Amino acid sequence: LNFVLTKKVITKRGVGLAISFSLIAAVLALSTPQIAEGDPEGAHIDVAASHPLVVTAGSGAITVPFSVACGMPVIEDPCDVRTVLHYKPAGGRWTEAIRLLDGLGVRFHVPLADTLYVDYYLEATERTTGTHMTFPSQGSTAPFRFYLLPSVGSTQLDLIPFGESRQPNSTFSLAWGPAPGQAGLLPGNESSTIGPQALDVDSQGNIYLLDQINDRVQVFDPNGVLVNAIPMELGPLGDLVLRGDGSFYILDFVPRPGSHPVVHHVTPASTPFAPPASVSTVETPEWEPALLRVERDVLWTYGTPSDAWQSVGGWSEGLAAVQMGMPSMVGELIRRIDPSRQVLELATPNSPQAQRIRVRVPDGRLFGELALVEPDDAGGFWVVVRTWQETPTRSDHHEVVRLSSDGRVLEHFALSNGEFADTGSMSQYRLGGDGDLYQIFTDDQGVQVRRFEI
Amino acid sequence: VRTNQFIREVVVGALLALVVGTVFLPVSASAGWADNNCSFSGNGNDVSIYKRSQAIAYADVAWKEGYHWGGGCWNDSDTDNQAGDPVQTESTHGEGGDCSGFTFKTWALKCSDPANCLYGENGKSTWSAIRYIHGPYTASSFKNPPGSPIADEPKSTALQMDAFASDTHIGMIYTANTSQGHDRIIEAKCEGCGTTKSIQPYRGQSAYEGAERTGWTPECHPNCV
Repeated sequence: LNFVLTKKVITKRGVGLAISFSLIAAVLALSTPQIAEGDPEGAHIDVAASHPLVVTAGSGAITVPFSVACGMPVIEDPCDVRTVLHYKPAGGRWTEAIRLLDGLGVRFHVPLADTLYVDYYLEATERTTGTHMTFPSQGSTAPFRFYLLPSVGSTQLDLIPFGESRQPNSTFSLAWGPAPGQAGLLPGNESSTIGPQALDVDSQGNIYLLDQINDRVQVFDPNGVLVNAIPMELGPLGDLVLRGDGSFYILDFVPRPGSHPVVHHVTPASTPFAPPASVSTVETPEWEPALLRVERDVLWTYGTPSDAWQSVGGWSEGLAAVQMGMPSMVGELIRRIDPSRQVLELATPNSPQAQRIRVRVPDGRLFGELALVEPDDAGGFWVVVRTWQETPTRSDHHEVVRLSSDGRVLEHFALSNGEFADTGSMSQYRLGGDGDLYQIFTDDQGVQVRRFEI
Repeated sequence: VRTNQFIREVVVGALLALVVGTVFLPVSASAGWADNNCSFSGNGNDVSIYKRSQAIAYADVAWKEGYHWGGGCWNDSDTDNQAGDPVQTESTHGEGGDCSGFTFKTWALKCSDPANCLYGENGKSTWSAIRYIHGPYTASSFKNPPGSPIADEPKSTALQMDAFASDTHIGMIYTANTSQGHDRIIEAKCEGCGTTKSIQPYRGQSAYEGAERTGWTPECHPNCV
């Protein structure tokens, strides 16, 4: 520094050069963003399926469509994607069919043999970059599947006018806010409005509310009295499911570079309002998990792009890693809204008395999402499904339907939605461990936890 | 001697630049991520061809990047490079678009004068991911479109890269019709969420209306029969 500050070496030209170097550096810094676009290693391929799930035996052939998105490192460059569908009837051999991607997807026609099911998986290769992916990732080891079942007739739902909804048997309310007994809200303004993502209810009727905006799980007794709050650092999106032994799982849908979202297994402390006694975290098998489910002590997730159920850590436990239907007490339960949005289908293809039920929405209405499907205790099913119309006025509500094992409608009523804030996409309703139906209902004042005796 | 003096002056000049840079660097480093990584000027690249598949590929770059209210610049690092920005504040210049800005860029909507974008400019204009621009539209204006090149779309027929818009939010269809009756939506969701792909029930929710970008180039181009 002494050298620099010596009068003899600080000349006008030195100062001029300093200014020049600074200006050049500044111009370079301002004009050259430091992070390049694109993936230098290859193309990005995203494949999603529209699974047939259940096909009427004797149909001859079926079309299996896939959506394929492809982006090149230089975004203007066209993708050149070759896809190969591998399919195999039960007990048969693998067969290949090849299609080149042209636009938004590919469609394969699969002949139907006299078989119980057909397994399939897709390989896609971007031929310029060599990027390759298999969907699902386990390929022939754990492929997708559709089942062939006998034809059945459809049950027509009666029309329930919008605005005609059943009132809850009990409700407790939480105002928006951070205080104990309140619920966190992330207001929407050029963004989603986000409230509590999920709830679950144990066999005593205690309600666990995932209040992730406030970084906690709050526990209320059946009267709505706050009895515990477990602090945790959480992202704004997720799901919660009880394990049945006092612990619970939380899906934490926070983007992480190179990693899927994670699930936390949380064991509460013996002292209320204390941090958890233990938290173990594992990665989910899916990029976009939406729902957690515990069945026979195994944790499953449903998500996309697979549009299937995958066991978390299933490989290490030797379990089937991919399953098309929801794991349930009656085995694999296929649940599906037909792409026409006019037919809802349930099936238990692997149970000794394989069931298949088809339900049609009333004319003028369409089905929205399946919010809940659970077996009842008499061989039938509880279903919560959105129905909606666009004309003459935009309207929607959720309908609760109890179906018998042969597809008759045993109970049918509507619930008002209360969707001021988003919950988890499949977590607005839960069938509690006490046998009642619970709903997260939100408006601009706060959250109501609504209980319906069913 | 002159050579030695010149070398000495060059060295001193560089050292002085270093000292000046050291003094002023913290000022620039304290600016937002976008100030150091994005371009705040320049027009879009006018194009005549823009397909839904190109829009999907463009949107995919933003997947897992940040969300920033009023923002519109992202890279491809699969993380929010400036997480935890104050919500509904543009001035911190974090990474990502908000829901309407993300849609504006993904749909290659046109803005001839980036300093004063106007509603309803026709044409197609692609924007670099690192061009910091939001465009003139809000979620509400996609819900109630001002006219071409944005139009209402019946929700029952909405398909890939059409959108569902409410008064406060908009998301685009990445894949239509999952087996559970949802659509797979790509959206700049919230500050803590980032830009996500996930299943959403927007199609059936009354708060949402369908919106489409008009004038997509057919996927079969240039081989359409």
